[in-house]
Amino acid sequence: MMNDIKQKLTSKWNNFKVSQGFKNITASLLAILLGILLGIIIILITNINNAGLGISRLLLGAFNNPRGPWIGIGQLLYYATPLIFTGLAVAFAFKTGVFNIGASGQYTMGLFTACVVGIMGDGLGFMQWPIALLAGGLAGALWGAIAGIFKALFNVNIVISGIMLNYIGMFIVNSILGGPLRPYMVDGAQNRTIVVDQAARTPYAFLDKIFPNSGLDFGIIIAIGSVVLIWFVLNKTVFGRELKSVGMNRDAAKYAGVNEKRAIILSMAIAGFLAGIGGALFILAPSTRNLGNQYSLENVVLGAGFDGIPIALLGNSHPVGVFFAALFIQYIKLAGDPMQSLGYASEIVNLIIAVILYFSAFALIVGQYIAKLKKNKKPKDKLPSDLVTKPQEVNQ
Amino acid sequence: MSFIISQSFYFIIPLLIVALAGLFSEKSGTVNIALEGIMVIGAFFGVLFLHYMQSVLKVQMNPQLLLLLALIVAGIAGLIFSSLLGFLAIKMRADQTIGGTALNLLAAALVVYLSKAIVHDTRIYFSPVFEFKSNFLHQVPFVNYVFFNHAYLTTYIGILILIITVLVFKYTKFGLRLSACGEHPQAAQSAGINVIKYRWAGVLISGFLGGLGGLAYVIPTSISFEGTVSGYGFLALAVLIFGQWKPSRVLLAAIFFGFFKTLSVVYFGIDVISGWMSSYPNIPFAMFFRILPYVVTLIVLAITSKKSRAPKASGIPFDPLAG
Repeated sequence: MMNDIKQKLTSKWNNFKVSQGFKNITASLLAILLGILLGIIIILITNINNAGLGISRLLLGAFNNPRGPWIGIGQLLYYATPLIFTGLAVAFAFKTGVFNIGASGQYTMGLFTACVVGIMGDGLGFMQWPIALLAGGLAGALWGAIAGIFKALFNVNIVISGIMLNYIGMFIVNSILGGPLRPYMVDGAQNRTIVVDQAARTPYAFLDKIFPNSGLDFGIIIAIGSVVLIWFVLNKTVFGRELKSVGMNRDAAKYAGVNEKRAIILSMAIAGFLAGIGGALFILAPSTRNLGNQYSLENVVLGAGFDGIPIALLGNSHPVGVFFAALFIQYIKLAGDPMQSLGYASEIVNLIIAVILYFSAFALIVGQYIAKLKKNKKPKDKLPSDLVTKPQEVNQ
Repeated sequence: MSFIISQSFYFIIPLLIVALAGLFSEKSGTVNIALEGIMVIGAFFGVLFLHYMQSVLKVQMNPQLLLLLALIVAGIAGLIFSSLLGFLAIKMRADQTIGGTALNLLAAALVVYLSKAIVHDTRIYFSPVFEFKSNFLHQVPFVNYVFFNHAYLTTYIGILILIITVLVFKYTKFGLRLSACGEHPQAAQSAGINVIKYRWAGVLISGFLGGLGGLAYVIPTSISFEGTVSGYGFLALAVLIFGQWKPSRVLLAAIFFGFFKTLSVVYFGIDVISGWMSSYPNIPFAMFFRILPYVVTLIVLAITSKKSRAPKASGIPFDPLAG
């Protein structure tokens, strides 16, 4: 009996070891390793005197919380919640072969719409929170669908349209908040939105008892639910398989009768919905001690959407991978402030994340190259041509 | 009117330079999504150089010569940064869109980090002493205002770069070969052209021009640099697409986009518009003009993208050993 199980596990492990998934995970880990290595080098160059402490704070990330690691873990999950959604937003579009660089605009639109409902929707009673959340998702979906429509119908480079929509969304939101809605929604002195109504805040759902003072709320449960749901849609439904077939081979999908244009628009709408929910959950979060969150009216495109890109890539666009990648990225981000106090600008964290993204763009290729080298024992060989080229067809 | 046109030049010229930067890269077969990041890097090192020369070392020098040196510094910084794109796209044959995005994020983070580490601020200032302020041809007020009194060296450098680009792609062996590498690399290779070498040349020239264009964007419109060129690199890519990868048309496209960009900045200075704004206070004109250049970009791309004349092999990695 025990032997049976052992044998089964070994064979499963052996299968896994040679599978694509394993290669992807090793590639992601390689990219992370290189990113952190570079981070350490930068720390050493910037200021060698504090380097020891700096490196340890970087590696300790979320666990460095002076009030105890438990709060650190709670904070990690809390701050990672919107990132899980932007990561899913980029990953979902990736599966259809579309590069969703516009997640930031979708996130901003979701955040704004949820904020409007959360502050102005006084008559909604206990439904104010779910309606605000849903409204945020729909606003994001609209913003995503616009980019999808421009790609599907007019063949517009989706990287450029995504960036343009990021700016358009940000300026529209800031103009409306700074103009007509200013008297109702903005704290003039701080130039930030006021916090949303009590009824519009995400419930803590006892998570504040398990992780006290961390701000963690029901949002993380919604995030985990969404990860499962997206996995189900992509792998167990005809619709999801159709979307993926467009991503893998557009011509074959067309031949098989999949409406490619519809697939791109729907995929972007769903991606936008996810990003919009992420933004909504950020602004509706009760945060620590129920103080609520605010949106700053600065003319800057929010970074949360861009973080979705390395998250989707590190997670290899797999929903579960995205979940862990978002936790990792947030783990590193939490090291930013403690490092700032040592004299290392907190941007070092963004620097490391960008380096990780850079390496993950070709980590898979490097990983396969090393594997091939081991097999052939011909180290002078050039890159084998059958292993390179694109890992996935990406539309621009 | 003269004011608006001279303002337009401040936006048209960097747009033109950076779009031509994209042209060199795409003609050789590499999509350069990283232009935004290259601009940021160029602008940062150019402004840092000016800051050091003007405020730290206090070098007494002809401002035009100083600006020329700063533009070269910006270009070299862009060139070095673009080698990261070349390594990723040409050597590793990885996905250029993702790699370019990584470089954009990297540039944004790097300049803020360096800025904080070097000058302990996110903003670096320079003395704006580079306007010509010349009285040459003062008998012809318009020409004097736009081209001599309120002009910058960058205007002339931009025009020079355009002329050189046209000549390179029309008449030189280098230009024709570069185009061949982006259109049909296999054929180019069988004709004895070293495709890898030409693609590297394309990316590095692109990096130099992109970095120079980044500084050319900051100098006439600001007195400091704060780590962003607000999507200008992507607007330049749109200019390239609208210009259908032809240098002369890129100029027209740059003028078109530059005009809308100018409008979004100076709209309240135009009498007609400020009149509208006071008669219809409920219409959000400010928002309208703010988003105008970005909306125009979307609409123009929607009209022109159906029939794309992009170099055929642009964005496709080339493997010299494959069949």
